[in-house]
Amino acid sequence: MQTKVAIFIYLMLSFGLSAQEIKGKVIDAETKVSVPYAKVGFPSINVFTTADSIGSFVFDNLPQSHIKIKVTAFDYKVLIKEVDLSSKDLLILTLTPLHTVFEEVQITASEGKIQRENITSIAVVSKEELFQTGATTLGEALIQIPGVQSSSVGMGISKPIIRGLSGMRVVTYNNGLRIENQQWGNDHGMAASELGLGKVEVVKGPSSLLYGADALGGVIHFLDEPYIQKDQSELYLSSKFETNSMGTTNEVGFRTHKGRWRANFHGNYVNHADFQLPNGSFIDNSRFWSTNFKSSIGYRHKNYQLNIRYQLSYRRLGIPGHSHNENPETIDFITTERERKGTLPAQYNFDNFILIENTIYFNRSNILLELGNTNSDLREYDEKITLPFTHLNVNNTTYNIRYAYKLTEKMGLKTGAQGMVKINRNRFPTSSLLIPDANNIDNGVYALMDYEIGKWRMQGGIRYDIRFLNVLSAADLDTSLVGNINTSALERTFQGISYSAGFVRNSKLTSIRFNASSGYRSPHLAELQADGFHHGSLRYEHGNQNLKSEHAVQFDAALELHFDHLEFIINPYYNRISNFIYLIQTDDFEGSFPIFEYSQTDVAHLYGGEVGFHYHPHRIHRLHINTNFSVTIAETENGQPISLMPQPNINTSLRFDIKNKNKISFKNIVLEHIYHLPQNRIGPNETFSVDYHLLNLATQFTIGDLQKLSVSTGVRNLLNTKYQGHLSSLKNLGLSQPGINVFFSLKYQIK
Amino acid sequence: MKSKFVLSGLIIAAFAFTSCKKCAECHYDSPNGLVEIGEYCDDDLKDIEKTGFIVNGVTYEVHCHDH
Repeated sequence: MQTKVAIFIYLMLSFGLSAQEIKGKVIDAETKVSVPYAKVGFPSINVFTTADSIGSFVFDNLPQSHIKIKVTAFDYKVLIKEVDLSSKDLLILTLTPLHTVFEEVQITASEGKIQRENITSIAVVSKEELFQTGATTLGEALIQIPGVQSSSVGMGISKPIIRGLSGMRVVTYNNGLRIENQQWGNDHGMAASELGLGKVEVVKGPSSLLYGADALGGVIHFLDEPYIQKDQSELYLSSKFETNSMGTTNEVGFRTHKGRWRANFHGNYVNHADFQLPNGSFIDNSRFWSTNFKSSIGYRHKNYQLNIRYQLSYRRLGIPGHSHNENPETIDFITTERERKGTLPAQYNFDNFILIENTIYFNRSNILLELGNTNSDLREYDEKITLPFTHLNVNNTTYNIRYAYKLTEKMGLKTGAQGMVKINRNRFPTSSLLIPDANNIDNGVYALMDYEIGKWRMQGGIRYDIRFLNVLSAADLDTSLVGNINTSALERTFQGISYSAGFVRNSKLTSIRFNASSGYRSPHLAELQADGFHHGSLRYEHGNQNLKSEHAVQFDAALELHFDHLEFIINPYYNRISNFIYLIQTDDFEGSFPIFEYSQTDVAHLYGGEVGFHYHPHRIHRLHINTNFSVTIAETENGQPISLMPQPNINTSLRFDIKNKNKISFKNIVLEHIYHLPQNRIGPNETFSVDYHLLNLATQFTIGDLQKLSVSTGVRNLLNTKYQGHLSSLKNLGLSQPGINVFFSLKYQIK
Repeated sequence: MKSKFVLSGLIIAAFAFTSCKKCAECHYDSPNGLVEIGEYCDDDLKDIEKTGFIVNGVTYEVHCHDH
C-alpha cells in the first residue's frame, strides 16, 4: 500500500513540475493587427484572463495537456479550438471579424464541444438568458428551452419535463453531482435554484451512457457560475420585488481568486405571499419561502485541479388546493385576502449537497475522480400541526471515475465507472408512509469513442448498469402508518445495456446530425408499492409490484442552416419505450380526489420535435427575432394517447440590443410571446386543455459611469391572461395560474 | 465588561429556553360530519394529534389547523 501511495505522489509531483507559463497574442485574421482586450480562457479548468491593449496575454501554472481555449472579442467570431499546452511556442490566436454575432457560443459540459458539434441533442442556456424576462422560479424559466416544459403545483413547486417525460425519467445533475430528492412525487419539485447558477445544459432523450440509469427523458445539468479571473474579487447585493405575490428575493454573492485558490459564495432568501389570479383574488396557501446557500472552493496548481462544492437549501412550500368541505368547489381554494403566514398543508424541504471533484491532467489525457453526497429531507404536513403526514429522507452517495484519452489527433476515448448508494428512510414520528424504507445500489461501466475526419465527427459507446433494490419490510409497523403502502419486503435486481451512436457533419452553412441512443429505468418504489392518498399531488395512487424495467431507444436527427443573418434548425425525434409505466386515471374517486393507477404498456411511442429560427435583420443589427416550436405526441401501441403530456408551444422573443453609453445605459428590451396550443390528445378520464397566449416584456439597464448598479424591470403576463396549464395540478380544481406580475430587480456591485 | 457578558448570556438563554406558545383549533370527522373540539396548545396539542379523540369508546383521528 505504501508503495502505491509513493508512486501516486511521485506521479503527481512529476506531472506538476512539468507545467509552465504560456504566453500568447490575439490577432485579426484579415489584417494581422493585434486585437485588444479579448477575453481568453480555458472553460474546462475555469481559468480566464483578459488580453492587454496590444492583444498579449499570459497564463501560469497551466497543465501540460491538450485543452480547449475560448477567445471572445467584440465584433469577432468566437474562437474555440484545442491547443497543446506542452508546446513552448507563443500561442497566436487569430480571430475572424464578424459584423453579425448571433449569441454567445457555449461549450457543453457533457461532450466538451460547442453546441453544433455535439452528436446528441443538447441545449445550453445561460442564467442571463433564462431570466431575461423576470421568471419567478427556475422551473418557470426553463420553459424557454425548446423541448423543455414544466409541471407545477402553484408557484413554488415545479418539475422539468423534457420531450414529454418528467419525474423519475429526468435526471438532475448539479455540477456533475446526481441529485436525488424524491422526484417521483408530482408535488416534489426540483432541488435547484438560480442562486449562483451559470448555465443550464439539457440533454434531450435517453442519456444513460454518460449519466446512468433512469435518464430516459433526458438530463438537466445545472452548472455554477465560473470563478472570477485571477487576482480579482467581486462582492454584490441584489434584490428583486414582484407585485403578483408581493414576492422578494434578496441575494448576496462573493467571488475571489488569489494565487492557486479561488472561491464563490452565494446566499439568498426568497419569500412570496399567495399569488394573485387575473380576476384579483388569490390562491389560498400558494405562499412559499426558501433560503439557499451555495459555495465552491477551488484549488488549481499545474496539472492538478480540485473543486469542493457545497449547497444547502431550506424551503417551506404551501400546498394550495386544500379545503375542509366534503365536496369542495373551485371557490373553496380562493381567497379575497392575500396572506403570507405559513399554514397547512405544507412541505418543508431541507437539502444538503456536497461534491469533491479532482482532475489530473496528463499530456494527452485526464482523469476525473468525483465523490459526492446528497441528503434530502422532506416533511409534509397535512392536517396535523405537530405531526407530519409523512417524513422522508433520502441519502445518496455517488462516485464517478472518468478517464479521457486522446488516442490520436482525430480519435478520443472516454471510459469510466459510476455508481451510487441510495438509502430511503422514513423518519418518525409520522402519520403515514408513502414509500417503504429501501436501499438501492447502482454500478455502471462505460466506454465512448470519438472520431473526427474532415467535416465529420462520429461517436459511439456502450454501457452496462446493474441495480440492486432491497425494499425493507414494514409489516411490523403500526397498521395506521402503512395504510398507503404494500408492506412486504422485496428484493430485485435490474440490469441494462445502453448504447449511443451517431454523427455530425458541420460545414460553414449546414450542420447535419443523427444519433441513436438508449437508456433504461427500473420501476421506482412509489410505482411498485404505493397504495394511498397523497395530498401534495391531489390524487390517490395505486402502485403495481409486477412492473418491469422500461427500456428506451431514441432516434434523433437535426438539420441546421447557418446564414449570415438567419439560423434555422429542425430537430425531429422518435423515442420508443418498451414496458412504459404510466399513471392512468380510473373512474373511481377517493373523496373528492381521482384515483390513478400505475399501469404498463408493451410499447409507448413518443415522437415530435423542435423547429426554430433566429433572424437578425441586416438593416436592424440590434434586433434579434427568435422563434421555436416544440411538440411531443405520446401514445401506446394501440394508438391510445398517454396522459399528462405537455401542450405544444411556440415561444417567440424579440430582443432589441441598445447598448447606449449614457449615464443610464440600456442593455436591451425584450418582448416575449408564448403560445400554448390546445392539448386534445388526452388519456382516459383526463380533461382537455384550451390554448392560451402569454406576453412578457422586460428591459435591463445600468446606472452610472462604472455601471455598478444594474436594473432589470418588466411585466410578466402583460395581458393578464387567465389560463390553466395542462400539467398544473391546480387544473383539476378549476384554478388558473398567476395573473399580471410586475417585477423590479436591482443588483449593486460593491467591489 | 463582565456585566455585558452576563447580560448577553441572559438574553441568549432567554431566546434559547423560551418558545412561542403553539395553539390550534381541532376537529374530528364523525359519521354525522365534522365536530369541532376547541383549541389545544403545546403538549396537549401534540397529544391530541397523536392519540386522537375518544367518544363512546371510539377513537377518532383529530385534525388541527392554525388558521
